[in-house]
Amino acid sequence: MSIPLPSPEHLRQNPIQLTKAVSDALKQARDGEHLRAFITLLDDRALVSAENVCARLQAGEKLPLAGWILAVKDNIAIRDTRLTCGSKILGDHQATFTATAVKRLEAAGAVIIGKTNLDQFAMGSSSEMSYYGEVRNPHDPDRVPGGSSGGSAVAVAAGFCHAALGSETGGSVRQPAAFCGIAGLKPTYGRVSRYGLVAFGSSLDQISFFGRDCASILSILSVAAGVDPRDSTSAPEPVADCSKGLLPLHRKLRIGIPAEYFQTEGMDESIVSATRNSAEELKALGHSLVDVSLPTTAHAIPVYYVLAVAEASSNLARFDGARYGWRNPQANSVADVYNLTRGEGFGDEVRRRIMMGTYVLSAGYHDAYYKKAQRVRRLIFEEFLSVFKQVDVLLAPTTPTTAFKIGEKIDDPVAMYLSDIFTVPANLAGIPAVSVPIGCDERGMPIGAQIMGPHFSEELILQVASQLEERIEVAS
Amino acid sequence: MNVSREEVIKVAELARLKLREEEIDKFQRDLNSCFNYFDQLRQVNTEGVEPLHHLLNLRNVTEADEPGECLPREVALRDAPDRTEEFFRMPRVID
Repeated sequence: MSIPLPSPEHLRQNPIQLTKAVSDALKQARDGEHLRAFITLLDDRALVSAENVCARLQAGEKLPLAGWILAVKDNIAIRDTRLTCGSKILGDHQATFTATAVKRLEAAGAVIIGKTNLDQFAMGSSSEMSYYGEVRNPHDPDRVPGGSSGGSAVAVAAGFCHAALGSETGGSVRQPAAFCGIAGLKPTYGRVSRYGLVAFGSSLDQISFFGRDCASILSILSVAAGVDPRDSTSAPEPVADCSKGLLPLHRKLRIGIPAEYFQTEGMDESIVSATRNSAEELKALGHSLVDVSLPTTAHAIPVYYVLAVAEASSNLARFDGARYGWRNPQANSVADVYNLTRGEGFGDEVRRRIMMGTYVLSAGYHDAYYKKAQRVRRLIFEEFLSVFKQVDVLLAPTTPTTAFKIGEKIDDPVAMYLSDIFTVPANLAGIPAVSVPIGCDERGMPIGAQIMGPHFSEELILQVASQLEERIEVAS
Repeated sequence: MNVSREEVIKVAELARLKLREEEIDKFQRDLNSCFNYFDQLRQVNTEGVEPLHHLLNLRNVTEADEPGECLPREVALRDAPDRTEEFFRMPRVID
């Protein structure tokens, strides 16, 4: 096991130690190579950036994120560094610009040590579908870390960095956070600029965050969030001032317990009981529990997949072997450059989704699948809005099972999709949700529960989740 | 819903994905198992429900038509799989 990195606060007060801490983090990431958390480590860039932060602190600059050592999912662009999306088709592509979220974090003093592994183009729920090899769960290397942001989850869980950026389209941060025993937040759709995040399902995509605890996540979120002229879907809502950190919650809330999240077929009993136990802990703090129902969420997975694959088939049309990345050397005609490069450059899951997306958008099926899914999405969205008139937040399990074995679901796409059954509804409704560890199953694999809240209630749900962190001691 | 072998081939063509012969059956199986699962959406009554296209109260964003920061040509071309001095190069379209 690795030696814990000094805390960001410690490093901010002792800037002289920052470069050593960054170099230790890089070394630990290399020692933990068997977990395949990283695709690219940015040694030189990270060390230069550490020296730079140290100098700025010594010159008296105030840098809210000085001391933070971060990792970034490799579908988020950082100028002049390799951007692979875990795919063959991007080859050794070097990004030509930097994502707004990354730019803001670095300007605030954060140091980024590397780009993390993921399911190709963020399509997957296990991080097994990377061209760079499957990511492994630090709690049991024979099990998956969840996905698609598995590399970032592992980087935080194994202690290679303080926090990490991932992205969510249908649960790709909360699900791996639950599987790896850390905290993971998906903000409201539009809260964080998507500029520089490689597009998958544009009506769902959101840059999201992993941390060891909710307080870490708030520190990062409050810097990364906010409107960005380069992303017209970024939300103009003001970002709360979080300079005092995550404040304790003094209000007593009505916490909704949605019945549908406890009754799924094949669900682990240990997850049901751990989540019920979390509800009791919150009740003991004076909150009231309210049974609620979100019946249409039963259809969230088909709605999500129809919409996400449709959007993906359009978004991934840009990867054509013409301008950047890998081109199949066997191609001798323009049509073959497209067909052979895409046919071989995309993995199975990506091709499956592009084909499904092309299919649901084609004449004759557009209304039956795509339009239908958009209508059901509205029902799900409205169900959440109406439930948030009765309760302040919702508490539910993050996943129906704990981390499964590597290879277990790889040949069964529907079984793999169902591992996101509890996370997808928040993405469809665009609401924020945070997963925190609440225990372990009989094999010692972590269990997560999520707090979901109304649009732009990030601070509130982090406060509630942080109460769970305080009340529940999770052995690690 | 039953996706035929011909439809798999057609969709792959439309999406510009060259499939190997032995992959076609596998994708046909996968697509059928997914669409059979998606077909549960038919049970949901959506009469009178408008499709939801986007979540936020988005309005049109306009910007002044002024040149901003540009991507220098050399940077745009640096990862090209094939290029000339100034252009991306693709195979000849007309003989």
